[in-house]
Amino acid sequence: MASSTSGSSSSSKVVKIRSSDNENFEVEEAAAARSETIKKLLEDVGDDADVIPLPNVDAKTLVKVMEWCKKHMDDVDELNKEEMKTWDAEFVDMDQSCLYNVLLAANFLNIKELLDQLTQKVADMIKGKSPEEIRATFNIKNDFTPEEEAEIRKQNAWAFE
Amino acid sequence: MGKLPEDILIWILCKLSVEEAARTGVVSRRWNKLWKKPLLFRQEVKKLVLDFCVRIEGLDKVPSYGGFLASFGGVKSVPLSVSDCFHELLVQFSQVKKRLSIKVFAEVFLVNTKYNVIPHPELSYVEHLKITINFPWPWYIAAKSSRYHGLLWSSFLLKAAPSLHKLSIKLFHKEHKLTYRDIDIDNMGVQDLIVQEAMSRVSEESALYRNLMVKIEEFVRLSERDDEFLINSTTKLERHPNLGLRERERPLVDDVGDLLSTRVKSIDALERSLVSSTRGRSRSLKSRSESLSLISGMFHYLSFLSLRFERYPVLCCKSLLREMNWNLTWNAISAYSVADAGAKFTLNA
Repeated sequence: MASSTSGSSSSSKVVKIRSSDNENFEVEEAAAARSETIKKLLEDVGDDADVIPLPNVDAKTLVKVMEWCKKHMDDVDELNKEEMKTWDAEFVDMDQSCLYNVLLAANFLNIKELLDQLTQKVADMIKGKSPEEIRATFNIKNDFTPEEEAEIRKQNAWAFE
Repeated sequence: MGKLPEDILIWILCKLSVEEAARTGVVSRRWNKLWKKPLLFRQEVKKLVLDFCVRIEGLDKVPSYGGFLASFGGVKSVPLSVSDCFHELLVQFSQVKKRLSIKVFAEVFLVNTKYNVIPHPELSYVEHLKITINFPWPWYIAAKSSRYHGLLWSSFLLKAAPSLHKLSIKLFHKEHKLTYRDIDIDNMGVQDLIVQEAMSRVSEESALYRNLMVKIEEFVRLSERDDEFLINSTTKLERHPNLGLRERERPLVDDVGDLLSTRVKSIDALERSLVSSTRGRSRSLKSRSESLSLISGMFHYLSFLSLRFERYPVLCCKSLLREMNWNLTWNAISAYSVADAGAKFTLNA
């Protein structure tokens, strides 16, 4: 069972990708193709592909994203669902700057499922927090004047009940 | 995290409940713009808007969404298929409740009439149907315009309720805190007529069903009436001490009174006389703002009375203002958006 997640033997084709800080990685094609962006690039350039440059993603983030892609390379069967859930939960449990970078990378690489998990994670961080706490958590500057803020609070009072 | 691109933030906000998302609006200017966008397309929001427009007694939580619509810029800004939502809401009650009490806000009628008649589910077990309509305008204006056919919607519900034996329909005037009972309809000499018509209407609607013993508690029949009835009820209502007319409308009420004493027979003639008397009055006034409020009073009056096309009151106001060499910039989509705007004229001298 466990070995099935480490890659199917049939397609062991490898693609090379390069991070923004010029580190090269070799990734199984099936894993890299989780990214719609890479998949499309691969289709466009065909087998002639040398190295695919990813100018928006640094090495550290790319490692993280590819870790996810490898794990999610194959379709998960029923038995592994629970295991996968735990793995995913642990995966998104990262510090904020990392989360931020991975989110951007997932957006650029267009990996829907990963984006979905990450945005859910951020949403969970927002849940149950007051506006002040949200500001503090995400380090957002309050650019309202006190009057404006009071006005918006009044307008949205129904949401605070 | 606050620097994330818009589409990702919207994605995140979509995972929050409507209330939670709305709370993030207080965080910063950027977030205040964001939260509304995704919500407009969510089923939940459509339902909330509808809960606001139509409150059905018995919902677990009836939230006060007063500010809610304001946040969205009103009901019309929500891409809302009222019939669908309405249907969904009512379905919750089909075959469940014996007593169904519905409060409807006027906005919903305006939307309704756009989408024609609301389909209704089977309210098989409902025996007592109570409908309260919060109507911000004097009720009699409902009688004169096809735009208010939505008011007749309540009688369509009869078709869906075969077990009905008690029906009460109340109109409630929000601003003046008047209900139908406060209005001295007895003295208008038309009550018999109303009840008679209502009865025939009800038996017509419910003829196909087994229970014909529909008892009408309160029922205001809102249908076409002749001009004379309208004029009579108009003046009687306007003179009702509880009605609390706005100051600027008072001179007009007197005008209408005068006009009636000379026995104007048609609304059409009443309208024309009203315009010409406003013209005379506003010319004699020195202050521009006074004439302006007089004209906007006329606008109110006309939009209550007007049997004509929607823009008639607007056109009258415009031509009056042009006569006085005022250029009016007035983007009026409907007469009522102008009525709401009241005296918010943008004038270029």
